[in-house]
Amino acid sequence: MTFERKQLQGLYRYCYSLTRDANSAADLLQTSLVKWIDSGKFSKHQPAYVRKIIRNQFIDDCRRNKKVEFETIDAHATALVDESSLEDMKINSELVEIIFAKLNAAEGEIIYLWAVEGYTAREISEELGQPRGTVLSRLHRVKQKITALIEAGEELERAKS
Amino acid sequence: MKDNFKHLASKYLEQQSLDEQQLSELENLFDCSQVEKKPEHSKSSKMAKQNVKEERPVFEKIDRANKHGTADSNSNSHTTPLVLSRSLFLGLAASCLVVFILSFVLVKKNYHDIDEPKSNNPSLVWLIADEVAKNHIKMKPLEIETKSLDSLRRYFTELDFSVTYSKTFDESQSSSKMLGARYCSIQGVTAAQLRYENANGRRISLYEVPYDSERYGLIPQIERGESPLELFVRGLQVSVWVESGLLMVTANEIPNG
Repeated sequence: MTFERKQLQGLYRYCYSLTRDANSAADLLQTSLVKWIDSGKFSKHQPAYVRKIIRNQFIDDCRRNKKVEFETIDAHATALVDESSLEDMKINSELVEIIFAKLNAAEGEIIYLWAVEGYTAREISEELGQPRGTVLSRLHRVKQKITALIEAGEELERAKS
Repeated sequence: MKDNFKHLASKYLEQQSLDEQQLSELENLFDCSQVEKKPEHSKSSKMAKQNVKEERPVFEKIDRANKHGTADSNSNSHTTPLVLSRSLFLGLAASCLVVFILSFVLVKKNYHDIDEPKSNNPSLVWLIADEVAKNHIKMKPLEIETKSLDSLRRYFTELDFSVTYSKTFDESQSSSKMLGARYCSIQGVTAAQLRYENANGRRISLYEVPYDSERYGLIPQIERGESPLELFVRGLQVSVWVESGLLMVTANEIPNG
């Protein structure tokens, strides 16, 4: 009953996508693994199950620290038609770290599941127990943030020249 | 250089990695939990099984008695074996429950008496150490600044124990001076956090709370000649032991070198 190092790294990256901080991610992973071990549910030896524990632990930590990281999405909020428009976006590699710093936890975890685990919006919605529309709305917000950053960068370039 | 966002995002997240020490610590969590599940061939599990077997006949005796009772009533009343009166059924259920609880307590007690790793719940010790480490890092303001244990005892009116010097702590941190203390908690129980400063100016926290083996698991007892458990949590060195009936935990920075 154990996880391979590759799986542990994957779980750590999921924690990082939620916390966007290396130390917090390591703490979150350790606390969650302890909870999984204590639960005794070793038949549920899957990263997806442990991700649920991680998510719940993160939400508890946020509540305790009075942080809002999972704001609700209005059912009528603008959403992407599908993930491909975000996939097709081309950006400068230097912007990635800045983009991640601008994401909240809800957006960060969706980007992890989409980019690293290769999930579709439907698969993400099943894992998170959210409507597919909510997932697409969050992806739309990520796209808006990326667009705003690109435009800000271009304006800075114009101002310099 | 431009690339598509999905690929860059994946690459960025995959650059975030645990280092070797962090991975080893996580793997230790699994190793500790494997120790808890005793291998079949171990002396302790054999003895534990023997104890369980010794208790089992009680269930069987009751079951046989009930079966006989049921059979007798069947022969006299022409009711099927499955039909029991309400009061008989409740009595049977209550008896089984009492016997089961007693058996569980006795097995647990016998299991604890066996000479085994000093903590039978490594993940619980880890939770205690983690909580203490987090509190130490926060370094919340002291509620009372004093070098006097008597002053601390007068201050801590809400504790249901008396804070005390620890010989173990004094021996390992002989050059430290007490700065003061504050209330805190360990796993939900009100505790005392004493703060010291060593000769290098580093702060050390000593936590004291009444020891309850049911709540905290088996912890090394100094009076029995056992040594404290040493863990590394959140970049700190955490020591856990029982002394003078109190669970004592220290947290301090890992010394250089």
